[in-house]
Amino acid sequence: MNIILALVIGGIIGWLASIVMRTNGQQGLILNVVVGIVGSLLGSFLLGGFFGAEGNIMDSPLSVGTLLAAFVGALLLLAIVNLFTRRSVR
Amino acid sequence: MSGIDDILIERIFSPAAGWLEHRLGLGQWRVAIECLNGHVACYLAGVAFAIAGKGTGDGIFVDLLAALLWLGIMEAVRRAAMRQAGSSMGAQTARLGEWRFRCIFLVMLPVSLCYVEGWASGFYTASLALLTAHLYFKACDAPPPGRKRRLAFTRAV
Repeated sequence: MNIILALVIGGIIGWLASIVMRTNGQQGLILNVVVGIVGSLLGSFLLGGFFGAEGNIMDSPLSVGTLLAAFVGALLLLAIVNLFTRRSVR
Repeated sequence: MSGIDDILIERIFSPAAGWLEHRLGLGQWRVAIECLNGHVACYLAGVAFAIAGKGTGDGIFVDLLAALLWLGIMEAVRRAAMRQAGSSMGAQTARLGEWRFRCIFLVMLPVSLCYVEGWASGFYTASLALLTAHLYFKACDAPPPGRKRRLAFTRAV
């Protein structure tokens, strides 16, 4: 059950992160959601300590620290994907 | 957000890099690498405090694996910084190419500060601040040349 919840939350987080990074128009919705799920899993795993999260998104998907770490992880992964897919200049 | 990024680079970190270069003899890239070293040291201290009270059955392996992965990523960041330091366009590359990461870490910093509870999270937040400083020092403009002191006095003499 936790895995399904983590996938759903990861998808929502990926969609929100793609809106923040303004990539929701360029990449497809499915790619954004996939990047969001992977990024939120990695982010909650790697960045949980920075937000005082006890576990990752698979263990405790509804804790605030885990959600923040997952969101930042999705943002970072989208930024990395952007870095390699297109060269944008401000 | 990029306006705040530009203001931070031009008003805070570039003058700070210039001050450090002229007063302490530390170049911009040296300061950036030392910030990264400080980040790694603080991160390791945070991990040490986080796993200090845990046993083998409390998921200590996951924490150590995450720390190992993070240190691997930081090694890649260090190599990228070294490559940029060797390039004549390194600062411009860092400034234009890494602005998203600077903004993300800049937003992360106050949020992480809100979650400081003990030594572990304190060290994690300090490490985050040092990582942000590393990214900003890399993106600094070249510091202005040192001001000659007592110019009027030497002319008069």
